[in-house]
Amino acid sequence: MSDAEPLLSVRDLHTQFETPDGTVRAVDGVSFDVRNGETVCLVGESGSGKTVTCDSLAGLVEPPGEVTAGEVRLHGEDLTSKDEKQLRHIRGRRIGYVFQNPQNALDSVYRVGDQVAEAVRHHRDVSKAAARERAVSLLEQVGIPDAEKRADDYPHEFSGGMKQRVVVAIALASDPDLLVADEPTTALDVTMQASILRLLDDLQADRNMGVVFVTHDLGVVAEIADRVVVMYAGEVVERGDVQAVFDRPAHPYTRALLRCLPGRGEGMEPIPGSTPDPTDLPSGCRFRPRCPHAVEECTSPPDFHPVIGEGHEAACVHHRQDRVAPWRERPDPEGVARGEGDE
Amino acid sequence: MSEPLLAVRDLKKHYPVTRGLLRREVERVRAVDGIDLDVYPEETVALVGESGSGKSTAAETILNLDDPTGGTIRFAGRDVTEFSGNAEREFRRRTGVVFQDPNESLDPRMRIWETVAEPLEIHGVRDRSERRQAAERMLDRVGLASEADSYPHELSGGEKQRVSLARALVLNPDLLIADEPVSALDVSIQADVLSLIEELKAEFDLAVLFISHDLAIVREIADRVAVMYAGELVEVADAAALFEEPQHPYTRVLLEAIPTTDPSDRGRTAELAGEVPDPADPPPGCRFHPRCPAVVAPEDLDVPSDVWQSVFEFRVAVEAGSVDGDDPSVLRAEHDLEDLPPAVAESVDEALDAVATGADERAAEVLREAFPTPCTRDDPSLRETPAGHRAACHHYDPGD
Repeated sequence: MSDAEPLLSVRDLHTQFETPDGTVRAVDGVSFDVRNGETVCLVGESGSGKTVTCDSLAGLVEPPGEVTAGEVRLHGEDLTSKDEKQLRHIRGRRIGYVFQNPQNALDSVYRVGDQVAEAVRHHRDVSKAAARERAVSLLEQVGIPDAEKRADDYPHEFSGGMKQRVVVAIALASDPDLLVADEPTTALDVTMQASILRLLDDLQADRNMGVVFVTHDLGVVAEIADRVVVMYAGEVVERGDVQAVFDRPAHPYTRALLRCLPGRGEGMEPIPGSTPDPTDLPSGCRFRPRCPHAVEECTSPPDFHPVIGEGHEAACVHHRQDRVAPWRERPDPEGVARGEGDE
Repeated sequence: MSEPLLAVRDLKKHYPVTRGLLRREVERVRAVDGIDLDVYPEETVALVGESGSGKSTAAETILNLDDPTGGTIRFAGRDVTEFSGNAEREFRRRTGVVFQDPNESLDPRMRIWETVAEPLEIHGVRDRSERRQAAERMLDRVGLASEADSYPHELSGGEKQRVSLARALVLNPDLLIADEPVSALDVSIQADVLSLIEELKAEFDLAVLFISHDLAIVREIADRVAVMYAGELVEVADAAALFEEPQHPYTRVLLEAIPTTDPSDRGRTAELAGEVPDPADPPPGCRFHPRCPAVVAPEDLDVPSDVWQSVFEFRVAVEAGSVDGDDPSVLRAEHDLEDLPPAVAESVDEALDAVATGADERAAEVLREAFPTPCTRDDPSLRETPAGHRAACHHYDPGD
């Protein structure tokens, strides 16, 4: 933990959905922090709970879903205790959102400049002309060439990558302290993805924003994260500094995710088995049925154990002080190399 | 070398845009504009490019879902474009298809086994139990034996794509055409479906034409790669050679856009300015020139390459009408044109002054005349490069 209070602090968050098949514990005790100027990536497969985590911290969970426990603090203020109206206010002013599909975020019958200007006026009491001016400036900031002219175009006149830039401009209209981006590049080509990632990186540096970035792609994580929170079946299984997590992935699930990443020229190794049925989760460690290193103790819920590196920890029994993870070659008497090494 | 299973020559697919009562053709969308492509038995060829490059249209045209505007497609030595009746059915039997969205090949009202068995019915297997057996064998092979009686909505995205594969292979084809088969899937599921494709490829002795925008994936599975841009092929090479020594600037940019797998190596991705051009109005010369980071300099121009590139990009911006402003010194700073060497300064100054007074056309003309480059003049064709594979780029013009 850093001494300064984090911008966003999520503690033991629980979000459930009641379904005909039973209760889905989509987010089941998730904790993480985001500091100013920091990008935290929530990474995991579909169904890991990463998107519901975002929705929860933003108060966007709708019935049959419900945030049942936990705390979400923004600037130290607990959002979970706020009523709907207060929340809307905070959400509007302090948190900006960018979602996966820009198509859904833009209204096809309004000019993009008007949509950005409307977002500006929503947060500030300014004249139409001033809002327009600010909208054009925002479009420029997100790298829309010829913004003055393009502001009068409709969404369909923009490519996927350019639409996503417009969505980012709308998200920035309130000068948010925190930007939540849920798979913002997943629907895009790699070239567009690269340019959107760079854009978010630049904007964050300029504005000293905190960013929560949700993705299933560890390649994207390697490009932009400062810290990583790995989720599996509603729980956090590993968190730490991005370099530490890539150098010394500590949870068997993180290790497996890294091995299915294409482009390393080493082949892609799928993870055996499939994600568990959310209404019927395995007891103990939820990755246990797919884990090549599962042992007897894994039937009890794992605690977080520190791994080498500040704030790097994993919910895996193999990192307990008295153990040596089986994928490490030899025990290290001083524990210095804890978590190091590959199979 | 054996005969190619699929041989595509000078394939063109244009869509005329017509207007008015007489349906006069006002323009022509050149989605695919003359590509040559061979796929040999049991090899995986990747056709790579961004959205709008024409790669999916090329695949559809090859599949004969759409009559080509020009060129020939030969399959197992026979001209597919002249196929009819039995011959066409034969081609369809020997070619399986998988699309990006598995829902395209799955009927929500049909049970999984029925979807997989449907091609058998189309190709004359009348006995229902025989069809069911064959479908179950395929489902077993893709790991979904227990889902034979399920409906598509009961399956995950990855499972649906497995069903699409089972359906595509139920007739035991020789060629699989896979159009972005894993782009909509999670990374972990991608690995899963791709390794299944690899296994099936070996088992069924398949040739695969794999269409993708993602070079990281292509690197894992392709034997050869053809890179497509704005309806044309810009580079064709063995996969290893392409990744080792990409020759075309566009290929290099695509490679650099692959996210790193090492956080300490981040931020090196190349920014590609602009977008794939409008296929109804492709740029003259090399279609990549407005976005190219390595345009060929005029022969007699002796300035550092970054200076030349700034001057050229300024020209492209002027021609696109996207330079705005009435103060030459502001424009100069905006376009990286400060402290230019004398060899270019005079013409650039003249152009800047022209733009500042709104005479964009004049400015463009000055720049065009002062700095001629083959990249805006001639459309390069694929030719052998020093790396031993083919690229369509003026950097490899003879005598260059």
